Amino acid sequence: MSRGRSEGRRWLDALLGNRKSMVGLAIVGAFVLMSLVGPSLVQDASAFVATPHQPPSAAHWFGTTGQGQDVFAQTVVGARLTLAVGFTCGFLVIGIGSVIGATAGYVGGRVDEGLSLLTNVFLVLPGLPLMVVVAAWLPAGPGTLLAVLTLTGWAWNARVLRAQTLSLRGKDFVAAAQVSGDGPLRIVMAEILPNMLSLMVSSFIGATVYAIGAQVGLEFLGLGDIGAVTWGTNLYWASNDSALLTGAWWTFVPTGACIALVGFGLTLINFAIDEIANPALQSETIWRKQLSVTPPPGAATPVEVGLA
Amino acid sequence: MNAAATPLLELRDVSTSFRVGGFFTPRLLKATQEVSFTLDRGEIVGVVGESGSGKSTIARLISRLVPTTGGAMLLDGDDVLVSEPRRASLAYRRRVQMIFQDPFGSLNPVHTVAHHIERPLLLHGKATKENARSAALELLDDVGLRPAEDFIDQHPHSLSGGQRQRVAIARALAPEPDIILADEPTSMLDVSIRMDVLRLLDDLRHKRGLAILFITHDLAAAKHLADRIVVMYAGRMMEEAPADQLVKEPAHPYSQLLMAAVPRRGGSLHDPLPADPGTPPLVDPRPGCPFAARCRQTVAACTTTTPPVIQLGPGHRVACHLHTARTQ
Repeated sequence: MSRGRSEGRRWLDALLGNRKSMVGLAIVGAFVLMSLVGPSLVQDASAFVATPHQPPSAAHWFGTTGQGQDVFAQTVVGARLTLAVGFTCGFLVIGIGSVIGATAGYVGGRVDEGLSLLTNVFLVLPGLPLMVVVAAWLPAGPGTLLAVLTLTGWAWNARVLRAQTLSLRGKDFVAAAQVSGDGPLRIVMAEILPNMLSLMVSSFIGATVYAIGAQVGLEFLGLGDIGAVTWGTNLYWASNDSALLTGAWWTFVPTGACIALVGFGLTLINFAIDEIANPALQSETIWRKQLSVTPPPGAATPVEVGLA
Repeated sequence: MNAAATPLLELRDVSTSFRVGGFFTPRLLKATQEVSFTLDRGEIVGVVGESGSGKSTIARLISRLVPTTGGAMLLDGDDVLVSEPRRASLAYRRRVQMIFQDPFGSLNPVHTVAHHIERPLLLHGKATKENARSAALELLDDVGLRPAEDFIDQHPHSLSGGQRQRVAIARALAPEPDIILADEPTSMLDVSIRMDVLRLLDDLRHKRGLAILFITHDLAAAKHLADRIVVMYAGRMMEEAPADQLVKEPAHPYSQLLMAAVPRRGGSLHDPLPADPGTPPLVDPRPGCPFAARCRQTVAACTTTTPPVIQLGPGHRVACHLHTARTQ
């Protein structure tokens, strides 16, 4: 559909025209690229390659771990599973959240009461202890982490999207679609969801940041698969091998910096989406651009720039 | 009853109520009670009343956006509340369309004008994917958005209120309906463009033979446009009469109040009104006439029994004890 393309185009233009989102996209894009092609370019991350706890050198850029592995290789390889679990969890959380939230908000009545109760129960469950208990109980691995993070993360999004659906449901354009003869599914998908798109995208990014943080935390506690190479297990092994006691800062600083950078990049994109979705912030940006350019003499007053 | 005498749409004692109040203090808000009137092809019926009189609820009842709690609604003599009780069929949707009060809320901000008009065209089989755009352009031209090419790819936010309302009218016309429910279509518009929209509705009635239910709080607009006027108060029908007659000789004290409230030449804003101030009693109404608390011509029966609707003259009906007494 041409309309869908132009809508996507508008978003792309807005994201590329915003300095914050450009920096954010560059950072996140670089890490995604690294996680995709990096592991095949570096040496085996689990192999014993040199004396343990060697500081950074020409042979081993980021030094070696307490197990004699190459820290650079571990940092690059660790990105793949960490980002994969993080982004997948973001998708699942927002998927479950929007299905449950939109259904509860649109259908209302008993269905809403049931789904809201379920959401509230998951909201009041203490997330961290539940994560620890469930992660310890299930067999360790990325699948378990994904399940645990999704289970403890979806409720907040469901609640936010329910509230948003509820407010959109009362709008006259929904009544107008009903009068036109549209069914409930079509109304939710074509009339209500597109109005929540910016909220969903920013929720997705928020959920991804949360998932990466929580996943690294669980793995640091030893609740992940400690045989796998991820950013979380890198930190686990650094701590296990007494990196702080021996002063081997290079075993945890690169991984820590990567996690912080990905979080920073995603947050920058989120800021930009806020600006794009909030017309007030957007028009301010447009005016700032307008004011920085002196109009040529005799030019018409700019009434509508870049909006239509 | 023969086919010629069957009205296009007939409401018989239609009532609806909403549950309000808390869990422990449930109360019933009676939005409409026993409303009856008819609407014929090519006819404009005005529904007039103040806020809370139930006039918008009437439009939402007929468009099946809110459920009825009693009565019958006959489209071509067929009671749709019996034949399609849970939700309206697509065939009913095609025949009965609605224009909403707020043109800023009734168009989806994320969709273009084209989407709003092509959707009902496709849904009701009035166009194919190939010719939907040209059909939409034609409709935009019909409602006075010219040149249509300039409007069709706009988003609602770049249109003015009057232009949006015209888009909403084009959307309502798309399925080629028999009835249009116009819920205060001009009240959110600038005074300068109200007349244009009213004229457009009048043209459509003449060109397409549409039946229009024109809901408004503006008695002057109703008089201009409507053939007959129904006056509502607190969810009940107070009076129904041909537009001219209602304006010239309103029979019900509430209709008289409405007429007195219209500013006129030579009058003063400080002229006293022929009734006491008050609001319509909707929640747990007391027995009797709902207007009794504000009326200055009450008789004993007004606070005990609900006045029946009686025929005063041809097409002139009123629900008031003053007239009940006179005709008996």
